[in-house]
Amino acid sequence: MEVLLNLLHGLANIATPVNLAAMVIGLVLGMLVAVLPGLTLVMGVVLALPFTYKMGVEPALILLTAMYVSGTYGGAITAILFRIPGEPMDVPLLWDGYAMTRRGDAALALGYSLVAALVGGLASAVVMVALSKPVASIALSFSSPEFFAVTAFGLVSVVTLSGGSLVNALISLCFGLLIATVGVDAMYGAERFAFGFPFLQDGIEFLLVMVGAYGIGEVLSRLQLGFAAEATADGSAGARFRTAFPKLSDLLAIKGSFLRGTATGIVVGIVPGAGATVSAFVAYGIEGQYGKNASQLGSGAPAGIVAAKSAATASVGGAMVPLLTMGIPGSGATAIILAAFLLHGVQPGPQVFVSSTELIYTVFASVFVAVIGMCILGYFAIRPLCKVLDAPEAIVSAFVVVFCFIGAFAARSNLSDLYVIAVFGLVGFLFERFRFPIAPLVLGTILGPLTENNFMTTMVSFNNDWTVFFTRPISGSILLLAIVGLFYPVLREALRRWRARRPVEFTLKTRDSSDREQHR
Amino acid sequence: MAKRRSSYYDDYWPSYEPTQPIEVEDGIKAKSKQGKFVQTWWADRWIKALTPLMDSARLSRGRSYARRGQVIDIQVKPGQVSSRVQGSRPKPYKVNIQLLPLSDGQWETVLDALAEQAIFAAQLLNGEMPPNVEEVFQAVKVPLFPDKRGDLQTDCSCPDWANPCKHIAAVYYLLGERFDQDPFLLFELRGRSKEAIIAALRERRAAEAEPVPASYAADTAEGVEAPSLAECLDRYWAMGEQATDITFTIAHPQPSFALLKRVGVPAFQGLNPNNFQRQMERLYDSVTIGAMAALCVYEILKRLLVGTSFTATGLAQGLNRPPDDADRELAAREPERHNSKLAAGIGLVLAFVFGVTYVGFFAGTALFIALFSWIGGYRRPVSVAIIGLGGAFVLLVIFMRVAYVSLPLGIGPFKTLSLALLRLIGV
Repeated sequence: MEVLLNLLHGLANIATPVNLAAMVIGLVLGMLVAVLPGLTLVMGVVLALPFTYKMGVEPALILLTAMYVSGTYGGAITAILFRIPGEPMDVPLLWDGYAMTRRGDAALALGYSLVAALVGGLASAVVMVALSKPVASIALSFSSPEFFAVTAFGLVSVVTLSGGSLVNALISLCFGLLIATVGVDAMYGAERFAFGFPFLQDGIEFLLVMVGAYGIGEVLSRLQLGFAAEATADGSAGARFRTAFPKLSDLLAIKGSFLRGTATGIVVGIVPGAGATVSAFVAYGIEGQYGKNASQLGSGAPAGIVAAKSAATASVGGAMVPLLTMGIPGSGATAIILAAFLLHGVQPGPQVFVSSTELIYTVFASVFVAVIGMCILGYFAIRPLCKVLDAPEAIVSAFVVVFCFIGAFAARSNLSDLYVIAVFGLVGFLFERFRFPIAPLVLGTILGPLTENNFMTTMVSFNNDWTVFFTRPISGSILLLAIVGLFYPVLREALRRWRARRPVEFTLKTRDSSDREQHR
Repeated sequence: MAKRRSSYYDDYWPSYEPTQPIEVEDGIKAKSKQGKFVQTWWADRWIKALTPLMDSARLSRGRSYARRGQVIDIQVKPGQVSSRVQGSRPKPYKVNIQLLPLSDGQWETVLDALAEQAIFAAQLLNGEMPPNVEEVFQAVKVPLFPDKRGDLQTDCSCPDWANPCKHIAAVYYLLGERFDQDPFLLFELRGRSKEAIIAALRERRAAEAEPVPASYAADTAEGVEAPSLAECLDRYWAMGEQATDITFTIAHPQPSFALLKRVGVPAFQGLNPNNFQRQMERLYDSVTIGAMAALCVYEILKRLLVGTSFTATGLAQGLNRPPDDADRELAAREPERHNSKLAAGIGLVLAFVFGVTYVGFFAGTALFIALFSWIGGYRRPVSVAIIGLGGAFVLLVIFMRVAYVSLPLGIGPFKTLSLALLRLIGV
């Protein structure tokens, strides 16, 4: 009851003109960046961050949250209509959504994805609200070993859940951790890897790494490919630019897909290190294994759209849980929301959950409102959103680069930050070019300092006894899970080889473009 | 007689009682005339090592030989003591005592441990053997003092078949007395001279100590004449012009392995607390290298056992559906890469980053947007110019008028331009 009251209070907070404006701007921006193939959701949120510096904490968080939510939908439209996945998470929609479009059912495909996003988003929002309070109260009893275990688990899961080579993901992660160690160490004040540069002594902000690797790196990669659109638009006439809602009986017939997709999205979202993209792929894979009509998947089955889309949107609610209750960002977008919190002097965590209930519930309420607003926007704004695709990518990219630099400069007014971004832009490009996933790199720089601090605090408070990590029940089980998770893909592959004589049902695919995209 | 193993004959046959030995004019006489032979604990430790190896009769005769000065000379070389002892025969017997010298690697470890604690180095340099020095040597599994029969190889040319004989004992006692004076001799026997040890200790201690940066050395105002008090009475308490030139650079101290030093020695069993840090420092290196080596071995084995194409992939990899014709077509078509565009783009980004301070935000951004669009393939001169200038102006308004970010203004004419623009938008 108290929770509902708080939530209503949060809704009332959103109803002020400034906050509503932030909500609408966030929704529109999220849709835009999701539709543009050169601009990913995370990058969009990063680029939006500097605009929130001068805002109050509420509109800033509402804007970013709304962007995060609606960014999970926009790409579906172009994926279904034009075979252009605006976001990596929309790649599974190509397989069933675009197949439906080719059949002439584009409007229906859009309808399914809209309903899936709505159901997944609202359900995960409900779970988020219900789960947060108990998780926060458990987290209150957490000490540094538990926080270390959670962050370590996040580091491992980003590797385990990556798309390509495990070794490459590990290398990328270690590189990120290495970057995180640059600067003066927090516990003993030892200077690490500064090489006498004053700006390195302060450490490298993860924001700069993100802006460089995601922003500049992506622009350079696409520049090298000549800004060629990934697929040609040959949308079928007639049903274009319209959303038709499927019949209720059809929806009920695939309620299992809704359930599986949403549950997958929430669970994967909660796991630090994985976000919307991984949820969409995992949900599609689960649908292919356990779905009622799994054999039709890939040839225009609504179940495929529903599973992937509901999971993608549901991951938002899941990802908010560790962020708001423990202050641990599990993905690029939540890391930016965390940065927005920190910029306004709020450090999310179990204490804040208790002390500034109002702010937290305003964020919760904004997820609900954003999911609904996203669906309304998604229903009415298809045509203008598709027009955005006509914007020449060369010009959009030029502005993206400038935004990257302004955004970083605005944070600290430090010219040397620009050099750091440029360097990480090159690093991001090289990673992308040689198939090293960028997500582990970025997450390593985000979670690295958290992990290290918790480790060091544990060492100091427990007399340098490293066994506490394993003897304390919660941290022990989480770490065990992390270790198993790290080796599971290796075992799985070995097992697969061992059984290789059997006919292969699920072929490993090698397509270049989507392989690249899953890494994000 | 050459080297002989002691046997039960030693106990069975009474020892061969020789006639009085020939006196030596200037033999080495022990300083102690009776009672305890040596003063220090370490020399005592040395003597005690011999006791269980000999019967008491030979031992006491050896002692009296030493006191009477029957030993003509003693030469200490690493791992070996050679000496001549005058017995009852005209020709002095040759006595040889051998100790296992430490290898270079073992010495490194020992020296590290000795350098670790200032007290060790200080006591050694003061001519004293640190009390727990033996623990240091335990780390390399070589005892500093001979303990077992095998530790000490002795050899005498006398006819006594017992080994050690009294001649050996005499030399041994005199050695003990020398150790009293100079503990380094003990080390020399183990293979390192005093000079080498002191040099090694100095080097290690120096490496540990903080070097004083040269910049700390005060610049002395040489050649500057101090003005007389009358000249500067009015500004005696005022700060001189030079005071503004004083700059401070506060450098972080950079202790190596700060963490190890801070947390101290954990109470694990089997750890030698004296050279724990050195051990750990070595361990850090070897663990790193070992882990890398293990990874390489793992990778090689993996390739050999499971096949060359084995790559473990993340879980998201397996979740794709089987590729259809369109996918295969895409996969087969290696995307065209425009490396010249890429190079131009990278160059432009770098130029922007380094140039924006000089040309200012407005001009830099306008130029960047226009050129980047051009490079990216948007080749309409008028549109590109308008978009560049317009975009830069809009961004300028947003960030300097609305968000109050102080973007770079540039220098020279660019600064004039920036300031004019700022006046225009009312900042």
